[in-house]
Amino acid sequence: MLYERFYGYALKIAFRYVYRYDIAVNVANDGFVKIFRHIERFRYEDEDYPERLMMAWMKRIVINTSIDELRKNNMTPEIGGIPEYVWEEPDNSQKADQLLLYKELISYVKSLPPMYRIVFNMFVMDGCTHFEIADALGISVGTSKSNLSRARGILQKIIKEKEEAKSWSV
Amino acid sequence: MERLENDMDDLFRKAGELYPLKITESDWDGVAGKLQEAKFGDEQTMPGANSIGTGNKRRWLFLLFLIPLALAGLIYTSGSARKHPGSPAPVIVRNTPLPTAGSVAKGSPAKQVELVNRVKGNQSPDIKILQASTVKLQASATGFSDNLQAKHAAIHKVNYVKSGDPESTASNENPDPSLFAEESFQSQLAKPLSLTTVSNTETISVHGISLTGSAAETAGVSKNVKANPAAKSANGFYAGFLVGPDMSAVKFQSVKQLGFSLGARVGYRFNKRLSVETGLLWDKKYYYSKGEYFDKSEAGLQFDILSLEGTCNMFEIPLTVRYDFSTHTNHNFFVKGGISSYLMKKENYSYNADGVYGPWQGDSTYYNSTNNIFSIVQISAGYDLAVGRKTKISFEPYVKIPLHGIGIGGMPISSAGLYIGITHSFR
Repeated sequence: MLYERFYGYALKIAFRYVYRYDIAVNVANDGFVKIFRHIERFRYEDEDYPERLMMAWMKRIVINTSIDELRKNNMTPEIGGIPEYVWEEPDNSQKADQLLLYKELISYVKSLPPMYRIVFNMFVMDGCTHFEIADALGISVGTSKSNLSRARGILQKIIKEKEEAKSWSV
Repeated sequence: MERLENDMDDLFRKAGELYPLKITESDWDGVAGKLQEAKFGDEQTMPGANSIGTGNKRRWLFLLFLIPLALAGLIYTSGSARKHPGSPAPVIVRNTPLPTAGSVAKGSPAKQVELVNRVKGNQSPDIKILQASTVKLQASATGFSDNLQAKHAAIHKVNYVKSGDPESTASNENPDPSLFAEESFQSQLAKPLSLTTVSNTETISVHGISLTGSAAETAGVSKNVKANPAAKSANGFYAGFLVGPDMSAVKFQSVKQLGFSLGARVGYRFNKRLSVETGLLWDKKYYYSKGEYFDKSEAGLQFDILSLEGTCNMFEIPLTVRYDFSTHTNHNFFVKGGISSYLMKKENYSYNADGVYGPWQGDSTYYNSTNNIFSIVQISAGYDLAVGRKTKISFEPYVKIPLHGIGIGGMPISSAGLYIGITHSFR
């Protein structure tokens, strides 16, 4: 079933934008409602990879729904950190360290102002162009570029500070 | 610094895909409940570039509506009484009653047709038309005899009075049959056609039959009729408008939806058969392509394109040579070949992409991206139909084949369609 198969995929995308688990669940579900309502719009000419095309279409819808959700709340930044219950329990596999790193990086992104976060998410993690970002957010291409540059600067600073803190603790 | 940014971006990209978010049990019941709701307000968040908007449909219907409107206007302005250029004879049709003999005698103004038989020795008496419900004369360039039957049909509607009784205005329901004896007509009709102007504009004499004043104008007979069409020069300028549907495809892949072309053209006719044309068209094209035909180096896209749907608005400047291989009095068949330039004004691509970012569906718009000068070969064949003395409508199927890539993605966009046009000659 489409919903069961791609629910996790949609939820992960939504959470990176809204950073509140309950809202991310709602956004993911709303995205699926839109998908099912407009499934006739999903057209694929390339029968080789219909699943990838479906994921591409879904990602686009979930991002748009997430942005709408943030707009509803006037892009108000979330208060507090990310609660621990949203994270998957780390297993003992070799990837555990890597997953911890990813979890940490995602937490850093949350510290960005919502507009910078959206631009960073869209450009770096989702591969949008500045034209697309500008179109989706109603800003200029120049503003999108500038937001991205500032977001990168903030994240570099955060990473540097964290590394320095680690080295001091060692 | 750039390397640091790239490394950082790669790291975050992987984090965005693989970060360990707990996936709770999905809530299908909630989704199903929302699906039952009548309105969800999701139109704005749906990627819409792939679908045809209702606005686009309306615009297209409006353009189609212009075609019959233009034709109706053309037919109205050209007038029902006019004859096609090059046709053998003027046709005069009167649908309104002519003035009485009294008003003619007093020199009443237009709306009168006076036919006077000036041929000496003619056995038939002089005839003066005083009142007519309909007068229809068809004069053949080679003689009237071909139209004798038509004349008989027309004459029975005309009331005649002998010239000896000019004041009589009464309708003569039973005219003297001897007045219309076939021999008397044939004796007139056998004479060669002569068109002479009695005065500057007032009277035109056709084969001894004079059309006075504005009656000739009303009937659509102008000074142009006097000139021999064959002697007239065939060269000269012409101009017109055209509109038509357009189907575009990249490497003969599927056609997504119909576009259109709309514009004006001008041409110069060197002789009866050969002419050159140019113009300015506004084209809207829709096309689909697999990603392999899209060159993303200029487009600034960072990922592999799987497939895309494109829309482009552009100016087109064709330069073509036309050859009329079959010319007739009121219609022509022609072929045309030439080269076109595309000036891209706006390109929009809705694409499906894949790569390090995972699958992605995006939109990109480019303005004034490229000018593809002389990069499209155009071939067409068509049919011209005269709807007035100098006006023609044309139906012209065409194909356009690119010599190299078009637009920001350098795609070989081929097109086929049908131009429906109206041209007016200034010869």
